[in-house]
Amino acid sequence: MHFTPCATIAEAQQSILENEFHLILINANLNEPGVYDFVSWLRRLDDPPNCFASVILIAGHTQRSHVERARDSGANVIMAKPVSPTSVLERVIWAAREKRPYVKCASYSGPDRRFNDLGPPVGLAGRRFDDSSGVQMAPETNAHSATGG
Amino acid sequence: MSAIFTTWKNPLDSMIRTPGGKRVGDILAQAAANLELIREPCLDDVDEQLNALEQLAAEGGALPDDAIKLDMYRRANDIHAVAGVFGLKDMSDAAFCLCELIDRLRDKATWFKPAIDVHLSSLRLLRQPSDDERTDVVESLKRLTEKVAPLGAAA
Repeated sequence: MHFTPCATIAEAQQSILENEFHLILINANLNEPGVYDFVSWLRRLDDPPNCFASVILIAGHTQRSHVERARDSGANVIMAKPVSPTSVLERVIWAAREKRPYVKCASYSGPDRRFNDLGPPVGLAGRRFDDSSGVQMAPETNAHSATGG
Repeated sequence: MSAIFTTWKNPLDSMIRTPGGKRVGDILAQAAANLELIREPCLDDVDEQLNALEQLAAEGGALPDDAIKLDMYRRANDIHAVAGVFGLKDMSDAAFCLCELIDRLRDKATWFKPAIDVHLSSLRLLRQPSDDERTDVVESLKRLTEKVAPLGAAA
């Protein structure tokens, strides 16, 4: 096992282009947009394993205007400071074992943001071949049902 | 562009499951020992940040410029991150409250120095270790922020 500490985003990008990583811990100032751009850049690399590396962002208070961007950056986990050795270890293990597929589309690249597959909305058939119609139905009205979307 | 789904098994999972290596308890004990080595310099840094915050608040006066507000926000965020690691949880929470207050006031393009000063006095108080329960101080700061800068309300 090898650790590569990097002091800047540019240094981290260079290191990622030259080495393989399975876990990336970012002591993030989430109010600096470069952090999101870095994770998005990583997720859009073409060659595994680096584009699928587990990414844990460790952040303090995050400005309201940046919260959505943090969520959509493509990180596996966003941890709130202050952290302890135990909490970091728990999240590393969680990130290593998680089974969410990776999604790549025009507007997002990273782990699937849906944690629960609840099936299509109540009373509606699935719209895609891989919807879970027939496997299970959502047990109650969900966001899609409520908005009609 | 349609969405492409890829299933990926992280090799880290196999590494964690492979027998051998160090025991978790030993690793955590080592991490705690390492943290103890940097306790004093980190708490010195917390003190420096608090001193700087008080100075910035005084310099900024009733309506500081954006650079001072941002500097104060960053320093409060640093206190929040570090104080909690070294047993000063209430101070860490109070620093988080100050971040929230500054963020809301910046969004509203306004300032409320008395509320900032109350936060700084609370940070000074909570810097001193105590066996007493002081979460009520933090709860009061939260209520103060809700009162002077409620979410969604116009300035």
